[in-house]
Amino acid sequence: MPFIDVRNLHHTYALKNGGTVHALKGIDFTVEFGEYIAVLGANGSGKTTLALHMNGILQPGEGKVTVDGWSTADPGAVREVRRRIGMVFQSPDDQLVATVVEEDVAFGPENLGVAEDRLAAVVRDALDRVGMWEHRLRPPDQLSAGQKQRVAIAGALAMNPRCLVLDEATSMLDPAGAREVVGIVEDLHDTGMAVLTVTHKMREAARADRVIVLSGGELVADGPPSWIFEHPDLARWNLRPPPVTVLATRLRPHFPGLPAGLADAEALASSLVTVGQS
Amino acid sequence: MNDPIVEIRNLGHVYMAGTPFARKSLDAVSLAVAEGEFIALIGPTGSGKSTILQHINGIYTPQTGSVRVLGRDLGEPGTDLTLLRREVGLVLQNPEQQVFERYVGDDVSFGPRMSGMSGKELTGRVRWAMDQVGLDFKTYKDRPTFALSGGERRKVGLAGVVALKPRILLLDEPTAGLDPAAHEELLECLARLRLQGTTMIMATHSMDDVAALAERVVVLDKGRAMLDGPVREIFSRADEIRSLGLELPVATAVVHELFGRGIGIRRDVLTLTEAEDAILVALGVRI
Amino acid sequence: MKDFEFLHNVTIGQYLPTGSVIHRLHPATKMLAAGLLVTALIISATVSGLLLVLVLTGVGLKMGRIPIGYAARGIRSVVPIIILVAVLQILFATGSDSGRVLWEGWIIKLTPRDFLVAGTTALRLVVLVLVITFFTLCTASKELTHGSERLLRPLTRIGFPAHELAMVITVALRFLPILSVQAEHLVKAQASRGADFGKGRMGLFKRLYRMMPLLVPLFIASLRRGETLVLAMEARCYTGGKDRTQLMRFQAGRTDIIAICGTGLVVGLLLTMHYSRLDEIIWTWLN
Repeated sequence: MPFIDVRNLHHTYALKNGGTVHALKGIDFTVEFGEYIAVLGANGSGKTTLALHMNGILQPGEGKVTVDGWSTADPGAVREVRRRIGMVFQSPDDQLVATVVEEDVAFGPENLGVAEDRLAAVVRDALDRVGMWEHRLRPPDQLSAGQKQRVAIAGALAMNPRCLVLDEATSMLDPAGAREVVGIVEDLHDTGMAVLTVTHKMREAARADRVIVLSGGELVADGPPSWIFEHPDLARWNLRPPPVTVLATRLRPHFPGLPAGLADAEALASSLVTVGQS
Repeated sequence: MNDPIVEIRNLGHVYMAGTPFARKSLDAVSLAVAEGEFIALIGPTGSGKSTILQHINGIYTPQTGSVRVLGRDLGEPGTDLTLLRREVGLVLQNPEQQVFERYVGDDVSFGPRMSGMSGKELTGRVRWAMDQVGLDFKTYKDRPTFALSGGERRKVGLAGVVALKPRILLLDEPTAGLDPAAHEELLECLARLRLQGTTMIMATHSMDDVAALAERVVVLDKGRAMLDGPVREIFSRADEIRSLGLELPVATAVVHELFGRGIGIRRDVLTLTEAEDAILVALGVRI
Repeated sequence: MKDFEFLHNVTIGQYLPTGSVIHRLHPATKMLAAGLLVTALIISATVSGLLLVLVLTGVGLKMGRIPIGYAARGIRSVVPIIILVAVLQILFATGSDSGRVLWEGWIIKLTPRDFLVAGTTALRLVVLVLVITFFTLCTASKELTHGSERLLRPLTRIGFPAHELAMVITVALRFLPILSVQAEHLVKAQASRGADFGKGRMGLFKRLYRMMPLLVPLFIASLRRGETLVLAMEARCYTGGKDRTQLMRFQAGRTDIIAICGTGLVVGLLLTMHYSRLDEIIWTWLN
């Protein structure tokens, strides 16, 4: 059985003026234990809505989402679902609850009723994993945006989840902050954590094992990043290939050996050296 | 070079000066900008980019050093900063969060209304500004601002400043956080404004935006101007740029990676087309 | 320009961690002590008592390793109010008829007593502000939550939501700095679009008027932030205070007992001075 199973998921938002928006139109996919998946899509494609379904913050209008066998629609299973899925949101400012880093990280386990003599160790472990232990006594508003997101990740880790869901977690960060966060997420994945990262940054999607593309509330593609990046319909989905992929595509007529879906400068350069010499 | 329209000399700035929270933000920065230039300010977060922009339109007045803009000395107590700001438009970071009127048209017209414009002239100006940023006047003027997408709101924020027809336009992270399509549209819009002859100074983390738009780059680090020169020249100094924790434009990065792998290749490239040419020449496909 | 640095002169509400004995007191102790002192200062206003508290606050600041000049900065922002109140007191307070009259005309009658009353009022405001500043400088915002939860705990027996109230306080404290930064950005954005916020002290009312449009976007932004925060809290399994454990347990110790007893003593002294009319005695004796 897959870790997360999404079957024919529909979601409709009611608008204040009485109208409705059909944000998700029959989504099907699964996430295995330890998988690293990127969900790509332009604004309005439904990707944030999908993320909020992963831990039962939203309930399916139609269809079903199960996490480790627990249905997100079952009110009795909410806690089981949420402790297995750690969520990190887009805005670094709006998801930290407490006024001190360590208390914020403790918030989740406190809610789960983790024994008080174990809380300090849980918090320490989570902060160590994101490299924020030395900042434990600082108020969040004195941290950089990247550091705040690391604290948010620690807050999720403290609940000992099996999967991290990141909803555009780097879109408000500077490149250095984004690199830090992506690095931490990759380290966590290496230790066996499943990752579902919702993004419109191709460069980050390139690092995933698998990419799911949403467009207009539908799942339009599901496959390896290299295949997605050179997909002829990319522009129709309001996405753009990474610039390096564009360059590689233009060079391929001269160097037919260039692999598909090259997304960063280093990879292109080393492929060119290999191909150019042969 | 003509007389500079912005002239910053030895500018220093300390946030929350005189409190235990004091933090040095600028340390003796000097910078001169000629009319019509498009300058990019790059540097790590906290290097002072935003502080410099906010000095040029008089949000901050110099604590040490001097700032002269359009012939006015901003350190003089008598300088009318309100008038100055109508000629020097500043688009702050996340301008979509600063949209404050209920309807798009009202928000865009705020600036011109404040400077006393009204009637047909005002409508004309709003229409023009919305055109500039690629928002159709008829479609958008009566839209409630809260119902817009992130990209649309950002355009409204930009149009609100453009509506003042500033001679100098200051942009703080104009494309940060936009999705690919909105990003592309905004770059087109900035290129259009540049064609009008507006002097532009843009603080950004996106090196590809810099390569696409700017003529000159100023690299800041810890409140100091470390490098200042034409884009092509600055980005060819890859090691210095990287040692400051900054990235290179993608095209530049690719040729530098090849060079680092022992390929003799031209390194002063900025665009993908230039990179393509350089690679084909270096690998012997084209002469 | 200091107009745009909202937090610049506000020492009230700032925490200055020095790790001193005072800082390490149980939050409930600090809240109780500050509460008692403020109440006593509101009930009693004897010059001798005020001077006593002033000196003791000075000693407290020393023990807390807080620069006295920095704490005093908080007074600066209330100086206009103090002067206004004092002047009104001098002009319109009707002291007792006894004693000399310095000047009389229209409905105004100046007696030495008026000056005493005005001086006392001013001193009292200064001392009050200083005591509150002292409290905030040595109490981290997180402590307010724990302190109030502890102080209110006895009331949970009659169904009072002590935990929920503490949570509300936490969230408010967490968002205060964020909102103030956002307000600063909004003002800067409006100024950048040519809004005239007036210059110097002359434009106070005009400036207030201009601030009005800030309230709507600020309010909408807080609602939006609130919504996100609720999602984030739900995602971390928050369901209220029931069955929660807590990372932070503050232990009250000997210093807390000493602090409470000390404060009790001072409050007792203040009230005795007040009800025994000590000032009256000194005043008559001086005359």
